[in-house]
Amino acid sequence: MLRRKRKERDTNPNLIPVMDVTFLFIFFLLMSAQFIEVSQIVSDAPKIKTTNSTSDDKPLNLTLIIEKDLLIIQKGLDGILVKSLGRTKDFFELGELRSVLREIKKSSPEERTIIVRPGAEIPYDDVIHILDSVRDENAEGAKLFDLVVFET
Amino acid sequence: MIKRKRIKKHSLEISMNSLLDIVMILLFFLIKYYSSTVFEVQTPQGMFLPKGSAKSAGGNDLTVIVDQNEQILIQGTPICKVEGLGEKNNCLYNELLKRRGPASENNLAVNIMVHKTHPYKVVKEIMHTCAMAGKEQFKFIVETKMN
Repeated sequence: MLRRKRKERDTNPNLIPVMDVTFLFIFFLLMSAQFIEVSQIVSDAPKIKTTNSTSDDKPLNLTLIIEKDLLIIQKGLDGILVKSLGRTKDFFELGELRSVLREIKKSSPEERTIIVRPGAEIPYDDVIHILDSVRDENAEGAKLFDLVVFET
Repeated sequence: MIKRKRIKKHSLEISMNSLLDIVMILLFFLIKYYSSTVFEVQTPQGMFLPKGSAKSAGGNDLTVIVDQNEQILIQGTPICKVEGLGEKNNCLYNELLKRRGPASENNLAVNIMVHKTHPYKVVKEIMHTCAMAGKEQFKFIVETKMN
């Protein structure tokens, strides 16, 4: 009989120290919890650079103009129009923007910079939304144009 | 006598299983939102950041905030209002110059947090002023999109 009683005692572990540690852990996590996860989009201020004119390599100078109802993609120093995309019912056709940029990226794989020129009244939220498409990753995880320069 | 003792012992035993279940759920929830990064975001109440899919976390650089009332804050301290011209903001410029350290310690990066509904000219004004004050690398802080 005595042996049996001992067995019963063993089945009830003392949980109080475990609870103490767990509560301490909870307070620590509560203090360091961040419920809004933030990230950053890096952009450099535009700089003027004089290049050697004897070089045959023409800069891509890819420019994205954001207007109220139009997205204009230009390239080259003369601003040759590549494509202009209209606004649909909800937003711009970002899928088409991505496919145009992918085609440009195929022809100039080393190029990472895109110049963005938003209109003064374009909401900041829309600009960030468009930048997401510009910086979109392909299947290999490489970004389209990750260096964004705002033309001010 | 024996009966009394037994009854007393039973009343003292509290089942901790249900409490432990709740505590464990809370623990897993908090671990999910645990942030080990040093960058802390303290946005003014009512201010919303745009959502973006960028993955890199913000650094501990000087932070310029434009809240929903177009009030400019540096490191959480209100400075002045946005002029809305997309040009240099003199008040912000002077404040940035005041906070400039010696040339060797100068950090060129600035975190920019702007309320999502503001027009681009507000962002342009901040960028233009920061660039003039020597802060030439802009880090736009966005709320990470949950996939």
